[in-house]
Amino acid sequence: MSLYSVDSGEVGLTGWELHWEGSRRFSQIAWICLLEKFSDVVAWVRENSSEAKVISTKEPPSHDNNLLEGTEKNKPNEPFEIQRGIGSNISFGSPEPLSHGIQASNQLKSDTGNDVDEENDANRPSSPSVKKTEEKGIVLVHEVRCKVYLKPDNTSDKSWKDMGMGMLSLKCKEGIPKGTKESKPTIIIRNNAGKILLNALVYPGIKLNVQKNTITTIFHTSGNGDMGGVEDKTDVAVVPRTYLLRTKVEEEVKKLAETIEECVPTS
Amino acid sequence: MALPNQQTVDYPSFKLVIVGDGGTGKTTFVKRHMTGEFEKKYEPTIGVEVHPLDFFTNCGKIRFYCWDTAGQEKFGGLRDGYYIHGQCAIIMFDVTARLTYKNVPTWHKDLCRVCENIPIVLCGNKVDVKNRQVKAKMVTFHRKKNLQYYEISAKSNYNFEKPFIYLARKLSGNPDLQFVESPALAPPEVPIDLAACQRYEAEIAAAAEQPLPDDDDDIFD
Repeated sequence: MSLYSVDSGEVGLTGWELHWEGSRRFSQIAWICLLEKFSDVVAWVRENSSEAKVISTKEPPSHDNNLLEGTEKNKPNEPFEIQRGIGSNISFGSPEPLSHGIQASNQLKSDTGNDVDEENDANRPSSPSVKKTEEKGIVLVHEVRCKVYLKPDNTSDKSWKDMGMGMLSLKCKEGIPKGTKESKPTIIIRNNAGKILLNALVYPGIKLNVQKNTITTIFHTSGNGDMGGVEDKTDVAVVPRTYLLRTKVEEEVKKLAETIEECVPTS
Repeated sequence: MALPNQQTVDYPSFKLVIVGDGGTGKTTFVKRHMTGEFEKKYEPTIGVEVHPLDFFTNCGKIRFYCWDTAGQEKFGGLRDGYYIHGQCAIIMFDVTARLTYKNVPTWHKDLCRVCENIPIVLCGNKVDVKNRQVKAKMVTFHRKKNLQYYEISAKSNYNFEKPFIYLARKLSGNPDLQFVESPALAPPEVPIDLAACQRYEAEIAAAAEQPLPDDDDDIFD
């Protein structure tokens, strides 16, 4: 990976220290800017690790730059509480999660940029920037990283459209026998920003064409295969589209194809 | 910072200015985030194109209005007129073209003249290319100016989400901010009959006859 090696700062400060210092400074700067320009944009949501969520907002939100509201739609099962207060819950660069012996007294010792997020990522394997959501009643049957290609709708263009890299998850409903329609076998591919590249059901009679480390098949998706840069596009026609999925190695594709086949509803 | 014809949203939105020499991949980078697609064709941006980009985070939804500005001087339009009220920025250069890195200080200076003290990410794009001219070691500008630096590849998606997560963390003041999985709707159920099945089979067979996409060195990890 030398191709992607990133300078990790100067001597003296460890990556974590640099990261933290940099974060703190930038937070302050950002905060000052925000205070000046958007006096009403205020406390963002503070998340207390993974359990109880404390969300602080300031009211009234009178500007279009509203608060990041902790909608947490993804986790309806987790309890959370909304605390409203005037700026009292603001906290910046809270060092709690970075408790690697860092002290607040560590002043910026160099003008080094904080280009050390790489280290930060080391703690979050596979999909570093995205936090996974656990779904109740859903079994994760299989997971593999793959690249998604789409056959262009316009037939004159024969080359595959590169739709990006993501984590493929094959999910089924819990407690329902595999290979039934009721188990709703679903393939979701998300990129590193958590956005959906593909969201489709495995349907009866699906054909998988395996070649080397690729699977070519047809899925039913809505919209133009677009992952919806902005709003979720509802009310768009559902059309069959030809997709090609590529994994790193052939074995992964074989395993994926086998797993999909096991989930295909028989009726 | 929405344009008059753009809907405002009830969650935080920020104006993100993207600058850098022509051909460094600004538009391709934005498009990759917009639609997922990687655009190979080069069509210089004229003036500016503004695209809203939404991200789901553990602190709620956030929107960047990406002001994708023209890199080529002759198409520059209002130039730094586009920077006004910018709240964060990305300066892009191409690691396979030395001159694009040499011009980074100029972009930075112009940007800072209009937008003081905004979080800025410096991005060295196209790191998937074998013969890079600007090695990671040679990139030092960000240190002097306290910018964040990322090596990215819009083509291979390497680090492509990092600039946004960094800016979101700075703007929120929350270093623990992370992306979360965007809500997935139940996928559509389509009844399949035998005829459809056969049609699909033929289509897949035809598609499979097309050459496979380039098996270049994508980074899967």
